[in-house]
Amino acid sequence: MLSSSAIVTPPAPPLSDADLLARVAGRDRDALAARRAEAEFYARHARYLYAVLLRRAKAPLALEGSEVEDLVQETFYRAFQRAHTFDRGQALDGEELSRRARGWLGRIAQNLLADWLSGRHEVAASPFLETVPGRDVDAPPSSRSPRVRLVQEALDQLSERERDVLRVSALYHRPGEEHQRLPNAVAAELAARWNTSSENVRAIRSRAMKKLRDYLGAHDAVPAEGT
Amino acid sequence: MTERERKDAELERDVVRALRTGGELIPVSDEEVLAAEEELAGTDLELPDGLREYRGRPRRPARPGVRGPWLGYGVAGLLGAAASTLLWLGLAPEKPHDLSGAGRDLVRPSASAPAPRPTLINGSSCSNDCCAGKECRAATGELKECASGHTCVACAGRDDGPYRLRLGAMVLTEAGEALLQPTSGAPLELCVSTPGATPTCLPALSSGTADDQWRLLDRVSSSQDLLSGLSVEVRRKGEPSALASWKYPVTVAPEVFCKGLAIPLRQEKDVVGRVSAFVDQTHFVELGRAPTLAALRERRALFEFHGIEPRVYETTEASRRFALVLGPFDKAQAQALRWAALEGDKEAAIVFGLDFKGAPQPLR
Repeated sequence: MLSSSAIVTPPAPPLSDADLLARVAGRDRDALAARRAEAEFYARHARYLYAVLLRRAKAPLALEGSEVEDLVQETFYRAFQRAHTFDRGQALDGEELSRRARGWLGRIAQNLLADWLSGRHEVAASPFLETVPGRDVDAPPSSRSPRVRLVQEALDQLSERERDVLRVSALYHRPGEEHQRLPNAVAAELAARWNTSSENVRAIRSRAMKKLRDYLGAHDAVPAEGT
Repeated sequence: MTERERKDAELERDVVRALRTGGELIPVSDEEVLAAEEELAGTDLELPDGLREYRGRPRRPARPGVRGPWLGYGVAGLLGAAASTLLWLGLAPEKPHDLSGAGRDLVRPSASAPAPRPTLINGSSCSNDCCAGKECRAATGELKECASGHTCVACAGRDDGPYRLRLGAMVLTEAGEALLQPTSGAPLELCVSTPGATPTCLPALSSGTADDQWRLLDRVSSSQDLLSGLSVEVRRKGEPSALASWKYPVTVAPEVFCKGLAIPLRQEKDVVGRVSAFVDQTHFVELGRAPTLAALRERRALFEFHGIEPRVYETTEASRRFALVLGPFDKAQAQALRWAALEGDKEAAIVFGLDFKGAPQPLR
């Protein structure tokens, strides 16, 4: 006969990120559980998001005059507001779900950054965030893709100024839209950074794209992905 | 889409992919996140104090230079005339960040809770720190009344836009009637542009109906854009060459806001037509958007307005057809109003109103 001390209740498995976000989304039913879920989700991902944004968003944030901390906070706030939109997709285990959640946070942060740079400090009505998907609708192909590698090589030929303009422009890339446009306010911020005019920023962008086209043409361009 | 445009679109997309793959953009796909996690492995990075725990809604301070005196703008409407209302907003100084209650707007109050107090959006008349408009006591001479309909125009140097241009119909001169022959061939258009931007074209001549006398361009221009040279050309629809033109660097000054621009369009030395243009503010504070007016009335009830009234625009968005807005204002004024709403835990967005249709209506 087992002694009572040998009967150990196994700890409950930790809630997945999808479960946590479901609790956050259910705040109307149980506000306390929602707040706890927010805290847990935040504890899991805040350090990652801060580190990533510190490396990859600090320069564009500096254009706008904000700090990485601001973007981290606003990203989590927005994520919790839209917790119901998180789509776990095909992710099965905890690690896959964690990556999916981090990608989702990344999209929100990217859209916020784009909004901030273009002067829309409030994004409630932004068309961008309304469409933040959980799935990778425009997921990049593998880094082993020949086309992407060639474009990366071409990017390496550009000056830092050209590359910077393209990098910031990329924040406003809308998949499937025929004309990609850099907002006036953002062009003005870039112009101030590079001590030039907004018109010249657009000219720099056009020149950079032409250089890329020429490079791809000269290197027997690999067909574009997805075509 | 032409073949060239298709290839350009593909290249744009591949540039984004290459930048993402190269770790220059924020990771958004599973693969990118995995790569970022590997890159960060072993990094001993501590969160700053402000991020140690989730604190709910951050209170972002306004950017430097956005406070202080503002430009008041009386809406002239599409007719560009008529008296306008508005405004000077006497908002309370920004409160310190309240983190103790942060996140409270994530939790809706229960049904039994008392109704929340409406958020006060306060307006007052034009202050003395202004240069033009009939509500501006400091205005002198020709700037006491503004043809633009603006009633309180701030002095120069307070505002960097962007702005929207409002154009009248072209009035042909005798020479223009002879040289342009407006009744034959393709219709005449006015094409407006700034350096580096694609021209925006609209019918040059009035059709005689009341609603085409003044037209808002569906684009915004920064003060730098205007300063680098505003260009207006007369063209035949579908033809790229200009029959007459005008180009001038426009400094956005109180005189321009108040009196507008009188644009002579020349074909060589002959003035063939004249166009009036006004520079308008374009920052609206959108307090809500909804599919029905009834829903917007509920939204409006969350606010209490003094000295200012929101109006409704119909929008091009099919699922949320109506927008409840204040403005337009300059950026600083719109920011201040938006923050007044946020201080009351009400969402508000600053928009340029490019998807608004027609003239605004009061919400009865």
